[in-house]
Amino acid sequence: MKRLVNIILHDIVRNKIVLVYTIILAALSWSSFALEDTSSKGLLTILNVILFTVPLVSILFSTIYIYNSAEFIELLLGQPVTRDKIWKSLFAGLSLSMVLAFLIGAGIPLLLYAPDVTGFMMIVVGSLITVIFVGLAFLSSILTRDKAKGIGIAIMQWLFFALLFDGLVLFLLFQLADYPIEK
Amino acid sequence: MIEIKNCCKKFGKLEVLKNVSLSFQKGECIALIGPNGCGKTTLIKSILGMVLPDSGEIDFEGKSVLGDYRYREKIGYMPQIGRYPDNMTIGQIVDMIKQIRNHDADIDEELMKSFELEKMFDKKMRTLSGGTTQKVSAVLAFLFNPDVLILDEPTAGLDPLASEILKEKIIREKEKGKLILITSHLLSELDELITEIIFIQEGEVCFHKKVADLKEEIQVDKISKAIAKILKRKQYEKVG
Repeated sequence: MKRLVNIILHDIVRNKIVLVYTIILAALSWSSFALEDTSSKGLLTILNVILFTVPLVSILFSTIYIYNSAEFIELLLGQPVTRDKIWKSLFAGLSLSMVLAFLIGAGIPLLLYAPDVTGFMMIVVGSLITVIFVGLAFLSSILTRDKAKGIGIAIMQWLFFALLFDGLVLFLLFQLADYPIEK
Repeated sequence: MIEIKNCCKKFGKLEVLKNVSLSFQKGECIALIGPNGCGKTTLIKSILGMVLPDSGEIDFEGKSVLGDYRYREKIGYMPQIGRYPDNMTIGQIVDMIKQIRNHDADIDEELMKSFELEKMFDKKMRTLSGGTTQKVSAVLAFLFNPDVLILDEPTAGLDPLASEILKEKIIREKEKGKLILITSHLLSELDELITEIIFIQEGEVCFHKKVADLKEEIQVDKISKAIAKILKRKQYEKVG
């Protein structure tokens, strides 16, 4: 399993998209801290990045990557490896690389400019959200064999969790504001 | 060595394998033949565990292959259409498979040398022609000196020189006492290779015979003629 994860990690790094993602995250985080005069404003900007950009990149990149590794998976199936291991290694490789990109890109500036509970929380939540959206990418790529459909499902999932869900909660909140929960 | 018992497989409504029972022993070289879409590849894939049969059992050296994967170390598989990661080079693919197998002892690079693949080690898989991809598949199948070789249409797409090299290699491996399973439509190519023949039609095994017996029975000297005769006879039976 270690060997498989290693191979997949190498392949992802060679892909360079993850590197670009790291650089963009770093640029966004550093500039938002440098431009704002208080670190809390910078934190707010990064929070938006974590809530929208990080999940979008994680789910889209992972979905496309899984579709593109269909051949790789097929090749491995003829070898003495279990399906279990193949999927787990793919998941581990993808989430590890995305989390690493997030930690290097946004984690370092966060630790430097906001070394308190909030900053730490954001790093943890950002990593978790990355892993979760990589998992969702697996769901969308397994639901259908059609690549375009799969990527569509991935985008829909992102839309739902990033925008619609919040809107729905807000909508319900205002609609039901007249009914106090506490008696 | 490999035992298939009452294997059934359906893809939706399509019954691909109907109650197939076969057994293969060491030192045999078996040809699986039959019309397109008769279930040859499905049968092979279910031996490899890539397709899970709906019912029935497949044993490898006495142990069921269901849920097991270690037995695949003893199988070299050459797929009909080898699909490889596009942006990896030949060298990377070979290295990767070596890493996954983690099998340092007796690596058999004879085929790689005779196909002169080492010269093209840094070519990307996507730039390769169909024939060269086939060569890579063949090299990977033979690389680890497996006890069982499963070759799905091995010579399709290979140039005459390469397919001759491959055939000679198959014969040499057969003489070492390995079990070799071949599917092919080129019956004339099989003549020198095989010892047994299995004919599959619409998911059912029509017959499983030794080549020598078959030739004696039908009174011809070529496999292709024997098969043609059998098929004609079957058609007669259908019409009659």
